Amino acid sequence: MRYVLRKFAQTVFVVVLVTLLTSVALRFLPGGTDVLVALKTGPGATKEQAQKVITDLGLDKPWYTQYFSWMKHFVTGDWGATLQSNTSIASAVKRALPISAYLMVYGQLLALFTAVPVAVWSAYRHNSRFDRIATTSAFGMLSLPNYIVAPVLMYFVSVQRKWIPYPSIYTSLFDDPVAHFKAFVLPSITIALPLFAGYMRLLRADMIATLQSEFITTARAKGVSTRNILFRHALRPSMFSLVTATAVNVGALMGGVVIVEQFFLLNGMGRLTVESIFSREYPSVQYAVVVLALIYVAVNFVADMAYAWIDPRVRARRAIG
Amino acid sequence: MNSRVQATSRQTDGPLLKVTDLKTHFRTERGLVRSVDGVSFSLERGRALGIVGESGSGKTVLSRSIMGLLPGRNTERSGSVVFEGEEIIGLSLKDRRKIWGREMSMIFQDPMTSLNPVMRVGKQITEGLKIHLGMDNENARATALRLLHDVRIPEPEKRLNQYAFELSGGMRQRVMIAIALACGPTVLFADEPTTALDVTVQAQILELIGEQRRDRNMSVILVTHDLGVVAGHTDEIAVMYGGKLVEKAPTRTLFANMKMPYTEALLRSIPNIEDPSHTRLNVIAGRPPDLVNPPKGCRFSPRCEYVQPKCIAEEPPLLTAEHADHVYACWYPVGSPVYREKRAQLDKAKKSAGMSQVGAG
Repeated sequence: MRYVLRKFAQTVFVVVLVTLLTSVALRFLPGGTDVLVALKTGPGATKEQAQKVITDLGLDKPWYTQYFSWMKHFVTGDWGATLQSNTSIASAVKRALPISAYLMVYGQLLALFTAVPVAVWSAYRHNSRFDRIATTSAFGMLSLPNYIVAPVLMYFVSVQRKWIPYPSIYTSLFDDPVAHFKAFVLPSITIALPLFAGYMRLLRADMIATLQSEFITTARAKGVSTRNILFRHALRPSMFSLVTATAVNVGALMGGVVIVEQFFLLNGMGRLTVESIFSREYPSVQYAVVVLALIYVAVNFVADMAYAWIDPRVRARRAIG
Repeated sequence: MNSRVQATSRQTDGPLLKVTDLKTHFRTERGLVRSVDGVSFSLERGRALGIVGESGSGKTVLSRSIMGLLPGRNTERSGSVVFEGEEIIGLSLKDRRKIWGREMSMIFQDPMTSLNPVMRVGKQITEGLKIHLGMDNENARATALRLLHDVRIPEPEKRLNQYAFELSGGMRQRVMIAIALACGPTVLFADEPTTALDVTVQAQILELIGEQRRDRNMSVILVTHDLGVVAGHTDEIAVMYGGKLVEKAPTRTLFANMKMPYTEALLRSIPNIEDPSHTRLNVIAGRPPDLVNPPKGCRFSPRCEYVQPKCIAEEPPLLTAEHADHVYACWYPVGSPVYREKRAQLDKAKKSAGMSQVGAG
């Protein structure tokens, strides 16, 4: 319990830091507030117009006041409008976020659910033919960039075989599950491929080490079946690196989805962020970044909880230390 | 052969466990490691056998090999292990698994590493009960509680929900014993069960194993490097060297009348509490033999104080001493004329060396 509170406190600290930095980020734009005013009003703004832009963004107040009013807006969902087209930032993020979230979750799940059994079997029969094929092909997958995988998949699946139409339009999971999964199959595979390879190799190495442990011999001497030895005795203590990598990869994926969304024409957070940057929609970038950062922080909190679940010693050690 | 017929007439006649010419070799890059090289012995029900030897003598491999626990692909195992009248070498993994934990179980040297660190103690005990005896959760839990009580763990109820790291070393070894005893095995292998423990706890654990052996009429194979450990807790002792059995006798006979200079050296290497402080330890010079290329003659000859040309040239067979149940492998055993002559020489040399040291000081 103390471990949970401790980790939660750390998480809150990071959240405050992230939001604080984001809230004042507009002050550090090259070109200063003039750029923002120019973007909002077009060339030749009056003094009053300029002042209004600055007041709306809270740039005339000290940074702490700005932080609190910004937080208030952020929490209530009143994120204001874009500078140039005057459309709601909140609704743009709300539209984009589920797409990226689905993509990342599907990619991760696909990678994990394939990597775990392959890694476990590879470790159990290491240096066997299965293991050698698995390790070598994983190495190959790691060296394939997603901007190669995406068009190749597209070409074979959508263009040549026409199994899945391209571009597939995002549909809600609840409206039409089939169309939903059709839209996500190829992008998820693109994302999952290198993840699978990384997870497989990590878990395999840790499993091999665990399987040499004396307590595995104890379990064998008890008459436990191979399957239960692998999945009940050996898998859990071997999962540390895997959990860490999964959490860290959420961060890496936020960059990775930019390319994949671009290829598959999915209007997710990646595209939103990049387009906002190109069109100098600084407030949109601000909110997109803070949303992604918060997701990352939350995922890492979950990972910390997972460590404690995996290994009771983590709970105890932290409580003492 | 007709193992099925024999299996039905289990426990009628013959020893509980009969090992004949058991060999266990490992294929490595360096060559074939002959860890166990033709070992034979038998064990009656309810008896305790001590297997003694240095590290690398093959004693651990022997016990794991009898159980069939060793990993398969680079291991060559031959010979015969007859358990309750049934040959168990060559059994499939599935059939061996029925023996493991149910008929034969094992406790290990280091209770720190031999318990699963992330599984509750209770679950580790009940696991075997569910597999072999088909118990449901409730029954298994009750049995686990009784087992923890049997191995004298205080507050057993609380321990069931604890993890290994929350227990002391002695307590962990007690849990290991509870796991091993869970399904009522007929043979218990104890592989250096006290080596990693505090001296004060060692005696308690050995006492506990002995007590459980008598209560359950179970056979025990106690593997250790310490002759002191086996002295009070076994009926018979087998001494191993370089993968071979070099001497075997009932415990009393062995201590009263050991034949093999190696056994003697092992005994002499135990420090005596009555010696004055700073007494030099009687170590066995040299290292255990390379099991890829073992010495040609007697495997102990390169380190033996009483070595003779014949020892280097020719490997001694297992000979029978005055008692039929005492066998040893030595050309010039302790007490023989050649031995006595050499011993006298050695004592004289030691004495004069001691004198010269005093003189120099």
